[in-house]
This record gives sequence, structure tokens and C-alpha cells, in this order.
Amino acid sequence: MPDVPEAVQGVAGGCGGGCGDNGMKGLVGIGYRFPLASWIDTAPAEIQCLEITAEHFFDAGEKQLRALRKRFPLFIHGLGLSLGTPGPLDRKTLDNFARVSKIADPEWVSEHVAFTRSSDVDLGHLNPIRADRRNLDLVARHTREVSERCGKPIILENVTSHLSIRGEMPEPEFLGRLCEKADCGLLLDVTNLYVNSKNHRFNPRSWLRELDPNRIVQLHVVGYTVRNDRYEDFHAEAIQEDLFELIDEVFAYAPVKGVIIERDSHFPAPHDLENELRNLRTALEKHGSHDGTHTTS
Amino acid sequence: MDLTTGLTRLLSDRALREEFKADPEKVSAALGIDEDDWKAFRSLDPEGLDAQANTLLSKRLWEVSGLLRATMRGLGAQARPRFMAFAEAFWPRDHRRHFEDAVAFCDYLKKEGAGEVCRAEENWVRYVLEGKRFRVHWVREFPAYGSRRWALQILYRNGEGYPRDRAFFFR
Repeated sequence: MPDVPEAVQGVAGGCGGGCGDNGMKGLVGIGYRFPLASWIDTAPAEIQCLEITAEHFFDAGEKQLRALRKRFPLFIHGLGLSLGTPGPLDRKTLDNFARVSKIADPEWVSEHVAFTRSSDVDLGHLNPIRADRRNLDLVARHTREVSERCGKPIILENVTSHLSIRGEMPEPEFLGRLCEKADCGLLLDVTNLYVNSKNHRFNPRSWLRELDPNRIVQLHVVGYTVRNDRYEDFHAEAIQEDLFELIDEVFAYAPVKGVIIERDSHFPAPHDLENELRNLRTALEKHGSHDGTHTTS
Repeated sequence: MDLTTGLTRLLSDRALREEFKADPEKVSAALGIDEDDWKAFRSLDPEGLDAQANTLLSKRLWEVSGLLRATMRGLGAQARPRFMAFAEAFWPRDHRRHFEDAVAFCDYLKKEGAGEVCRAEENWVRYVLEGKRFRVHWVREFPAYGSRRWALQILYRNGEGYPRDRAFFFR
């Protein structure tokens, strides 16, 4: 297996400044959302890191971001850079993203292997790109640009899609070659993988094993939604048992450095989120993923 | 036209998807899809396209429903079809897209006479989008505590620049 890419070696060993040394290197945390702010401000022991959605801080919140950085290791996550859109990156979005990244001083930044817009329409949410050589070049170029602009390692996330596009290679191969070309890591959204596996009827475990485990830096996890016989990623539910089994397998397979619960709505009581965080931490520790000597089943 | 741009067109245009379903080659030619992408574009699954397009609209509806709760409640069973009809013709462009959607949907409802807009909610989403420092409104039916009451609605920004909303009620 190739070595951990240089671009994310800096994040090995975890949390950088301000997090305190609890001996753990794989961090478990939650996406920062304003309805959760009061609870997060109490600094529950279960929260070891936070993921910040860059767009939420484009217009305001600099002081708050600096305060969060003093208390938690942060990851910055983008939604709107649209790395898969042909042509140059949107200048204003990139400027805003880089500004937020500078304030937050995150361990790494992340975006998606997807597009959200073309030159005439902004679809507002993530859509799949074709797994071909042209998009390999395009997304790798955009990825490097974002990383260089922010001065931070970058990791890329897989997305859900109801649409399959005939490509030149399977998705895991595309992601692997993209990470190599862009010298970046992977943000494996386990929920997205699970949702796609149900809608497109493939084995998520086989898909997972096509990935280089050393490229998997961080995970996104949240419960899926089933509506009209289709699986969806609405980020609105607790992690279901079958999904947790897959998460556990990822922990066994890859030495992940960060796990984020990506809940966007229908927030439960804090103690329910704390339970979820604890369960993830227990599973992570069981496989020793935090120190790189993970067990593979 | 490259495949990604062509896909954006399909996902944002129901009528175009119907044409594509009937004759993918004709739509490929009409859009001028690049030769390298021709095969992949033509083989896009129409059912997958519709499902993806519906998910995009559903996610927008989800967000706007969080911003216009009372308005959506008032629309009842018509909330979803009204929003879908609006959303297919309007695509926001900014990172504050959900507020753009909410404001435009309020305008749509009023223009079409398609339902009552909660004034307090409309004031809020417009305020956030306009970026003003301070606004005061008299609202006749401010939804609060399970009923609607006269209220003075004050919209302002805190020290961090975040928009805030306060209401003072009158009997």
C-alpha cells in the first residue's frame, strides 16, 4: 500500500494546537450547527473536534470562530466550491472559503467530488461527476488550488446520487486516482456510501476494500432516511444499527483521524448525541484506529 | 457543451428531461454535447435523472420549510406542490440560497395569489438577505405560543454580525 500522502501527513497525530493531550489521535466530534451552539459551548467531553461549514461563516462569526478554535480542533468543510464544474473556480466563493480557513486554522479543509453548478445555473446541492480522465484532471487541479490557497491539507468527500453516470472507471478507482493526482486524502462519508449501495444495489464492503485505507483521513456519519422506497441523505436521523455495522468495518479497515456526526436538522436531546458520540468513540478505540495500528478483519 | 453542463440543464428543467426521455439523441444534438461525452450523456437513465432532480428540489423545500414554518403550515397539503412549481422556475445563486429561495417563494405566493404568507417570517428572511443593520415592523398576526398576535418585530444584528429577531407582543 502507498504511504500516507504527504499532504495529510501533517494531520497524523491529530489535533494540533489547543485541544489538550488526551492521548487519543482519532478524534470524534460533530458538525457545528447554530441550534447546537449552546450545548457545544458547554464543551461536553464527548466532543473532541468540530467540523465547521465554511459557508455558515462567510458573512459573520469571525470572533466566534476564533473562540471555537481555542477550545476545539477544527475541520473546515465546503459545500459550494463545486470542484467538478469545468472552468475556473468561483473567485468569490474561493476567497470566502480561504478567509474562513485562515481564521479557523483547521487541521484540514474538505470539499466534495461533485458539482453544484454550471455557468448558468446553480443547483444548490451536490451532484455526481463522470468518473473519467478529464474530470480527474479537472478536480485534481481545483483541489490543489484550494489546498494551496488555504495553506492546508485537503480531503475529498464521496457524495450520494440517484443517478449513475457511465464512466471510464469505477468510483473507488476514480477516488483513488484522484487522491494520488491531487496528493490529498479522502473524507469517506459512510452514510453516502450506504445510501448509494442501497439505491444502486452494490456491496458497500466490496466498494470500501477497493479504497486505499491509508487515504481515508476522516469520516462523515449520520442516520439515513428512507422515503418512497428510496434511501436519502437528509442528515436528520440517528445512526441506525445496520449503518453502524458498516462504520465499525471502516474503523477496522482504515486508520481514520477524525469522525464527524453530520446532523443538520431534527436535533435530538444533547444526551442522545452524547450517546452517539460515545458509541463511535468506543468502536474507534476497539479497533485501535487512533494510533494507526488498526486491526483489519 | 460538456456532460456536466448538459447534466445541469437536465436537472434544472423538467420539460427538457421529458424531451430527453422521448429522444435522448435529439436533446444531445440540440445542446451540442461534446463528442467525447455523447455516449455517456445519451445513456443517462431518465428515472435516475428525475430522482436526482426531485431530491434537489426536496432539499430546497426542506430548508425553506424551516424558514417559513407558519407559511407552510398555512398552505397545508398545497405546500409541497406550490413550492415545487415555484422551485422549477427559480434557482438561487448565492451561498445564502435558502434565504433567496424563501424570499422568492414569498413573492411567488403573493403574485400567484397561491397562499397566505406569514408576514413575520417574510420580514425575517428579507432582512437576512438584504443585509441591513436594523429594521422594525408592526406585524398583525405574529405566530407565537400557538396563536397569532399583534407584535412589534425588531430585527437587528448582534456584535458578531448575526441577524437576530425579537418580538414584543400586545394583547
